[in-house]
Amino acid sequence: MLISIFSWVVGINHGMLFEKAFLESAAILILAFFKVRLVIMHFMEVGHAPTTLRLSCEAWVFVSCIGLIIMTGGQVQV
Amino acid sequence: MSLMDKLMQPMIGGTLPVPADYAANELVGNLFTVWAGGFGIAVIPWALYCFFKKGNDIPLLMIFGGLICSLIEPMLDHLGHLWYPTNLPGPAFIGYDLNIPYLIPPCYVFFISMTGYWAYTRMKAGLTVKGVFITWFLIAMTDVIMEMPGTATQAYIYYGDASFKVFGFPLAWGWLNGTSMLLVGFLLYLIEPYLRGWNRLFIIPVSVVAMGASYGMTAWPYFMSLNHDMPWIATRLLTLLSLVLCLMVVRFTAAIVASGHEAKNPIEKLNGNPVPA
Amino acid sequence: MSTYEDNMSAVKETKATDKTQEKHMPGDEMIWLFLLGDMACFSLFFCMFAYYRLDEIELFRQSQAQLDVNIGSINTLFLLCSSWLVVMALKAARKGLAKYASFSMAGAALFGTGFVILKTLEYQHKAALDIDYLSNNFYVFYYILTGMHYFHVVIGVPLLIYYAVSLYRSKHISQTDVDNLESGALYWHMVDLLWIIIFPLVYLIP
Repeated sequence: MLISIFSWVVGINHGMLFEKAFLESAAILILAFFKVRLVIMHFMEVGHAPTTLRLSCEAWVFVSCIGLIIMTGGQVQV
Repeated sequence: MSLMDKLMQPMIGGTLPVPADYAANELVGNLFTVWAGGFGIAVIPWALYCFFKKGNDIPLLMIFGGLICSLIEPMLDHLGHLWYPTNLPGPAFIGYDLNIPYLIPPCYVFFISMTGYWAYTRMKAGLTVKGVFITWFLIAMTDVIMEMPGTATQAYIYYGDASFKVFGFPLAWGWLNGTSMLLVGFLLYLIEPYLRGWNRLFIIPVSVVAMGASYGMTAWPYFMSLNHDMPWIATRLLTLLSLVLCLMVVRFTAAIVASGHEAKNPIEKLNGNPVPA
Repeated sequence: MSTYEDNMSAVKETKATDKTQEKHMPGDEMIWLFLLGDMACFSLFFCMFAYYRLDEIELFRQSQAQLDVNIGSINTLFLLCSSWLVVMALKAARKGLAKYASFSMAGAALFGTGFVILKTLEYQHKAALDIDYLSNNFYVFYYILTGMHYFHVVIGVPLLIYYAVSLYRSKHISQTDVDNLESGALYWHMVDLLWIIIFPLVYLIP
């Protein structure tokens, strides 16, 4: 299972082409955080961890991903 | 210059003029503020969780303690020749004519109080002498890891000719800070069993008391090397003396922790008294 | 009817105990505090990168074009392999297979070293072109993001080597040893996952 994740992960790195740069950035970031979540849940074994820890990690992945997509899209004025 | 000339080259001590014109790259300053201060902010939800869900009030009290402990920073900057550029986000407060940036109070919260708390939890779980030294080393490393990116990117500067600088970070601060963090944990370890009821609030001053004590015990040779006139070789030797003093203090701490092994109240155990239930 | 209810509550009970038996906190509370704090800091760095990027988008794109995507991809592969070997090492250690765990850790350290070597070459190449961290805002982020990460790797590799050596020498793996391994493994996986974000963010996004 892990080997298949590997090869897929490496293959995907070499790009897809969307028309809008923002969409492509978003896609790249979503993919990155998907891989990150896999590492957290399976390598770091958080998938089997107590709920508070699991929720904290899921929250970090979700907030970071969404936050980053929004920031790259330029929808935020700080 | 011959070797002897180089070794005996006189170094001018005294409080050097601060490099007041020295400014950090603004972006670098912002990034370093996040790096040094971010951890301290991040632990607040956890400390609240510990207090409300688990009834453990120590992390929260230590956080307040860390904020108060940061008041000691200007004295250490003055003696230790550290300059924070005035263009760093801040100042949180001013002391010894030095601007202390916003990152400092949260930095103290994590890197003095929380690391001290970690040392305390390890001591309570039981540590051998070797274990105490390893704990000391790991804690010292957290300080090095936190500071080197700042000095390497020149977010702030240790001015003057401090001994043993790596990426702009004088290594002496590694062992000095490491010892102070260990002692924060050690003081907490010793007195916490006695603090009940309103006395719990005495956990708050633990950080600043232990840190002040630690610097008093170990840092004076290093500060001498920066602030007195003396030959170059003497400055390096005094810096090494501060390391020796740190090792002595850690060894002394280890002796007590190791013999109070897994005691709920280490002082009572050392006294040989039966531990009250 | 009571038999059915009894059966159902018995099933529920077993399911509940199964769940609690399954839940295991890898490492301990303090290491997670450190890891999540570190991850939170990096998240803020990433967001700051995206924010500053919008102001100077052309400059960022130009500077990004100077980066070597291939080295970055290979580095990603190195860290993934390394993490996977650490997972294998931990599994072996839990089963008491000290030598196998040791070799896996050594392999992981090797991949980590590969990362360090490639990254050093990349930095040297940049230095030869007279690019340093103050060249422009993109490079401030490039050097700080990849540099902090590099620093984390440089600390992690000796840790993996230490584990490899002590596993090789140990005759018996105690629970404390496994706990320590878990903590170190968590740190290394964090190093891996940070790069999984840094590489596309800095090297790839258009």
